[in-house]
Amino acid sequence: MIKNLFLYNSLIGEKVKFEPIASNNVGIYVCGPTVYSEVHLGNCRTFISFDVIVRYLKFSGYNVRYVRNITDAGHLENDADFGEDKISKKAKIEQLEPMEIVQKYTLDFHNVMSLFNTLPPSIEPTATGHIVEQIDMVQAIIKKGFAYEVNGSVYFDVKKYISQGYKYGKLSGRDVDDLIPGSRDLEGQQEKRNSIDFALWKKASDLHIMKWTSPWGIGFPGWHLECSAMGAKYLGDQFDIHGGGMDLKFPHHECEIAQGFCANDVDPVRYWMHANMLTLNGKRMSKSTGNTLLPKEIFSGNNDILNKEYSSYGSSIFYASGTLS
Amino acid sequence: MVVRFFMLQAHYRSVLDFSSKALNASEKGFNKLMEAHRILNNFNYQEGKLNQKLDDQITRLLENCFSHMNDDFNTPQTIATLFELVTIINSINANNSVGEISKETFIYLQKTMNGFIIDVLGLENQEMQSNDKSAQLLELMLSIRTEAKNNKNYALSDQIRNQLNEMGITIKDGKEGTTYSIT
Repeated sequence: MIKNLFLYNSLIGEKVKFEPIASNNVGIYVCGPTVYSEVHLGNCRTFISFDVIVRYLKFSGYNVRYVRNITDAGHLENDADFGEDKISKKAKIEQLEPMEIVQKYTLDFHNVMSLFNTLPPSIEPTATGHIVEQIDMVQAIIKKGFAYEVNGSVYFDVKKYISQGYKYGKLSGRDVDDLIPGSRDLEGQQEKRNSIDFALWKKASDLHIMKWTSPWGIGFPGWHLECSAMGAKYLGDQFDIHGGGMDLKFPHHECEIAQGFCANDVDPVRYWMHANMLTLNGKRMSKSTGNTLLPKEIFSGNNDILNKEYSSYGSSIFYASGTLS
Repeated sequence: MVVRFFMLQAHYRSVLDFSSKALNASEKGFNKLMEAHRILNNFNYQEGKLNQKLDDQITRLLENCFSHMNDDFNTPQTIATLFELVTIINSINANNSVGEISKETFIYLQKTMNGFIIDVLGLENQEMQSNDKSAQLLELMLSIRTEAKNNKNYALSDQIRNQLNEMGITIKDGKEGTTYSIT
C-alpha cells in the first residue's frame, strides 16, 4: 500500500507528511491516566482519538508499537512541583494502600477502554515500575550540567538550557520571559534557582508514603520525568509520535522535550500530536468544578444532562429485518 | 459505541461539546450506518447490466475515505463519505440493483466499508459479534415461531411472541417478514 499520510505536528504548527524513522515501523507514545479516580469522558476522548490514529496506522500497513503509560506515582496536586501526590491523597481518603488505589482505578480504566472498543497498547508501563530508569535519566541530565541538587531534590535548570540556545517553550509557544515571574512565594519554591525550573526528583518527607531510595536520598520522581524515561526505554531516545491531551502541552510535554534532549542529545519526538477537549455545556470538563461526565453515567443514563441511557454494545435499539419465510 | 461514534464525528483537533441532543443525533446516524453495513454484507451479488457512472462514483467515494484519513486523520470527513455510500447502498437495496456495479467494485466496497467501520473507526467489535450467539438464537426462535404459525399452532407462536416481549424484545409481522427490536 502506498502511504501518503499527512499529520498535524503541534511542534511546528503545520500539517506535514509523516515519515517514520524506521520505514515501516512506527513508535507512538501516549500519556496515559493518573489512576487516582475514574476517568471522565473528556479523558476518554483523548484515548479514543489516539485509538483511531493507531488503528489507521495499522490499517495503512505500518507495524505499530503503541506505548501508553499508567501514572501511579509522582503526579502532584495541581500538576505542581509541590504538594501532595494525587494517589497518596486518595489512598488516605479511601483508607487504602496507594497500590490498592492504583489497582482499583487501573482496572476501572481498562474496563472503560474496552467498553469504548479501544485496542490495548502494545506496552503499558507504570511509573513505579521504572524508578531505576528515571534515576538513570536524572543522573544523565546532572552529568550534562542541566540539573542541580538541593536538599535531596533535583531540579532541571531551565535558565541554563535557554542560555545554551535551546528553546524552552517551542512546543507550547510560550514566551520564556512570561514564564519567569519575580519571586513567587510558594512553599518550597525558594530552593529552586528559578521558579521556572521543574522537579526531576523530589525529596520525600517522613509523611510521604510512596518513596524510593536514590543517590540523593529517599524521594520520588517528578511527574514529567516518567514519560521521558519510559518513552526512551521502549521506543528509543528519539521516536516518531508523542500524543496526549491538549492540556498536557505545557508544562508536561515542554518539560519532556527539554529533559529528553539533555539526557540523550537528541530531540525525543519527531511528531507531537494533541487531542482537543471535550466540553460540557460549553465549559471544560473538570472534576474539581463538578462539570464532568463519567462513562458509567452514559451507560446507565444516570446524569441530569442525559435523557436516556446509551448501551455500550452497538446502539440501544437494533433492527433485523426478517428474511424468515 | 454511540458515544465513540459521536466523538469521531468531530476532528480530534477540534473542541467538541457534549450534549444529550447531539448524542441522540449521533445515535440515529450510527444506526443508519450500521444498518447499511449489515445490508451490504448480506447482498447476494449477481452480475447484471453495468452502470458505469454508479461504479465510478462508488470507487471515487471509497478512495475519498482513504484520502480523508490521510489528511490528519479526518474522521468527520470520512464518516460523511461513508454516509454518501450508505445512501447508495440503500438505493441499491431498494431497487435490488447490486448487479449494476462490477464484481470487482462490489468486493472493494464490502472490503473497504468493513475495513473503515470495523478496523479503523472501531465501531463494531468482531470478536464480540462472533462470540455473541444471542442474535442467532433469536433468529432461531423467530423461525420456530414462523413454522408454528404456518402449522396454525397459534398457542405456540403467541407464547414465543409474548415471552420475548417480556424480555424486552418486540416482534412485528409485516409484509416483508418478521422484524424485531430490542430495547
